[in-house]
Amino acid sequence: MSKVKSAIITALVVIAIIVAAVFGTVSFNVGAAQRYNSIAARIPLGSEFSGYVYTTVYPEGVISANEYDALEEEDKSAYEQHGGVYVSFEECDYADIASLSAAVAADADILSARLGDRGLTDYSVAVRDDVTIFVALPSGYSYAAYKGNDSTERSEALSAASSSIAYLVADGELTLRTTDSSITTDEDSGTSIDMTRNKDEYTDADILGTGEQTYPFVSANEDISSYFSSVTAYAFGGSNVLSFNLTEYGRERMSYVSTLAASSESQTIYVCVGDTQVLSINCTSTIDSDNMQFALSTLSAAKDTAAVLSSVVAGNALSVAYNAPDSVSSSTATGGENAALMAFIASIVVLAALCAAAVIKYKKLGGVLAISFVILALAMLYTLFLLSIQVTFEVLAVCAGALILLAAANLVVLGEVRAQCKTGKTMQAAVKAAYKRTLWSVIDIHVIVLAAAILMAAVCQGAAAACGLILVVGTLVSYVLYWFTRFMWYVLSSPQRNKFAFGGFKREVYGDDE
Amino acid sequence: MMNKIVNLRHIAVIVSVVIMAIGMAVGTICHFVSNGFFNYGDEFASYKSVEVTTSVPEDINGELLGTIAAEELSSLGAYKVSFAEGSGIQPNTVIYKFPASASDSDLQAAVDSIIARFEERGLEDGSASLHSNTGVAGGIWQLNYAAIALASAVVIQAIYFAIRLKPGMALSAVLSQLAAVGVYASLLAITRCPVGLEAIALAAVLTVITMICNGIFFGKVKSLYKDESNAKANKLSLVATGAESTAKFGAFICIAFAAAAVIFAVFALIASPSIQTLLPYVVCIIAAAACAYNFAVFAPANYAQLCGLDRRGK
Repeated sequence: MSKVKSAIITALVVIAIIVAAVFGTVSFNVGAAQRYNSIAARIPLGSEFSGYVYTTVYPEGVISANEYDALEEEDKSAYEQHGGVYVSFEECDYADIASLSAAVAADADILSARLGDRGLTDYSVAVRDDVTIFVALPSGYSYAAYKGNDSTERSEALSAASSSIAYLVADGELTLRTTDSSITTDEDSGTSIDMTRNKDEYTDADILGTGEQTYPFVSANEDISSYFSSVTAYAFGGSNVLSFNLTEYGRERMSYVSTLAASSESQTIYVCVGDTQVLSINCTSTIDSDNMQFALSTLSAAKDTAAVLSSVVAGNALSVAYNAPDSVSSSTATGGENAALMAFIASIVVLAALCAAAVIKYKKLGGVLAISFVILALAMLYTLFLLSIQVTFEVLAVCAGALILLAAANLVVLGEVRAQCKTGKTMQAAVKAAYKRTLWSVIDIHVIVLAAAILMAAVCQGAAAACGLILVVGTLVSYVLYWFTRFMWYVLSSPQRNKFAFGGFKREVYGDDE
Repeated sequence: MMNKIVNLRHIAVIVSVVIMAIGMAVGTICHFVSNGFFNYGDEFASYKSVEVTTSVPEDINGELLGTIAAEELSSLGAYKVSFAEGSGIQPNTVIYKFPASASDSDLQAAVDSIIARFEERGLEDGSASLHSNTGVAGGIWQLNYAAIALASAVVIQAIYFAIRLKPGMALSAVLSQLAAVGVYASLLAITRCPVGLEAIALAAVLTVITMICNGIFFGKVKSLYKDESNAKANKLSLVATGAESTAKFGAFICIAFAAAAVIFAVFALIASPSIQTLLPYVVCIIAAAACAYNFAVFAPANYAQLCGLDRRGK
């Protein structure tokens, strides 16, 4: 390869990296009113970097100290203090603290499982004062949102977290409801079904927020959860899909329910958990299929709905009636106000140290290694952004692991090149032989790490699954970059006149050579 | 050095078992007399909390709240403090978290004092309350799935090594993974570092790093087996040579990981200067130490014992 070709290829690679790095890491104002937030500033952050969104969920009949203080004196007598809260057994379905706290503890376990199924990377659930549940989710702000440079994203993230909490704490059983008090199934014969016959405890509740009454399509004695075998959420082709798999019995019953809904005036099936509406299905014809799929506005909403419905379908409905959380609070980052910025600077320092060590040890060749490290770091950055993986301590550790994998693979090769140089080969021959001799070792370590990463991504939940996913990408990129290093080695060393010394390596000089 | 370890392989393996036994003993004793086999972190442990609030009109940025709460509570051993700035009807809220062993009477006295000071300053909407919290082990779900995934990965690694390398190497790789995780868990039990989700994620990283180190080590030993110039060399000496020549890679990986943890710890301390901030990074260094010990001592010693299972040549 000629010097010109080598220089052009090297320059193109470096320019591409600089452009990707600038857009990836530098935020700047565009004109007076607009701002470009870098990729790094738009990645969702975990709780240690952006704080928690939290609330306390109170069962009916349990109130906070503030609410107790606001009561009239005669109303206070119905309450007794328990820890930091007040309980009135006249207003809850339990006779004593022991039975209420046992039910709340069981519900907290279910809630924790729902949050795990929801795929959150980091959350906490605690039973507070034996009778309430404290729930905290990562706020999921990006750095730009956390620092107030992206108010839209901040309000969207807060709204998504609040909505997640509101959905996931839905108590009660699954019902399919309609606002029509009677449905005419056959207009010719005038056959009409009186839906008020199915009236239940939620009929008068303002489920839809419009003040309208709602009636179950089927008797309250019928177990709706037996209609479904599973409920999942996924994104596909730009749509956020909520998918129900129906049982044989469920298919038959949904056919009946959807026929009624299609004949009704509203032509809608409201899917509710207790008095919380989680989905509304516009139904204009009979549904007769093993699978039902619906597009929701956001993936977050689809995941929330799937998590709560899966839990109820599996027979894990919350048994205590809870008051809907009034509001949620958003705390500062648990790692300190500037934790995200400091973690970012630390990442840059680690990367710079690795690059510097490579350049010092291997001169120009170290530059190639440094380019590989920077490309891997940028690939991780863009992957975190594209897959919306929340950056947590664990994710950073795995990114460091991927960087170490690339460094280890290259070290193995470089060690072998040094050994080959000592046998008196030219640089080109030594490099060729080294890559050949170490190929299987490098493939071995990438294959086993890739297998572990795929298993983590597929089997695990929450933080561990996110770590697995990022490690899958990191391992694949590391292997590609291993060959990129080989290519750049060729590009940079080809124009060299001295074929026996390059990048800190030198052929062993024998007596007869001198 | 590696020759010595290979020659004293029985002792090297016994040392590993002793470290694990000490960890088990400390963990078991602590299970009965202290706070559990491990010192569980937030996700798993119970704790006490004091929640203090002021309304936005009375205390616009929550400055009074922060000052009064800090004066009354900061000396009582809180391990985590979080602040939520209010807006509209949402009050400013600060939550102090204390270990479950914190004294109820001290905390209640502080709560009463805060309420009294709020009344003095005319913060009529201000409140303070003490709560006891029982952590629901949501992380346990993640732990179970992570354990299943990693155990499966170790099995796949063993099968891959058995096909690609040698059966003894496959068995040795499995044992070395178990030893690495065992030593890591023992060190966590002995040092009483808090075990949270970070510790679990680091166990996964440790497993992956051990896989990388094993891949390099066994790959090298196999190439030495194949090399005809070593036909007359003793198998144990080839294991020692393989360990010697790959030691620098293992050392680099472990030192790089530990150094990265130190750099992150320094910057994390700048963001939030407290002992609590350092703990996840201490766990990182423990993981790196467990990995280094495994790579430098256990894996060569263990494989030296099992190398009789493997034949030389292709």
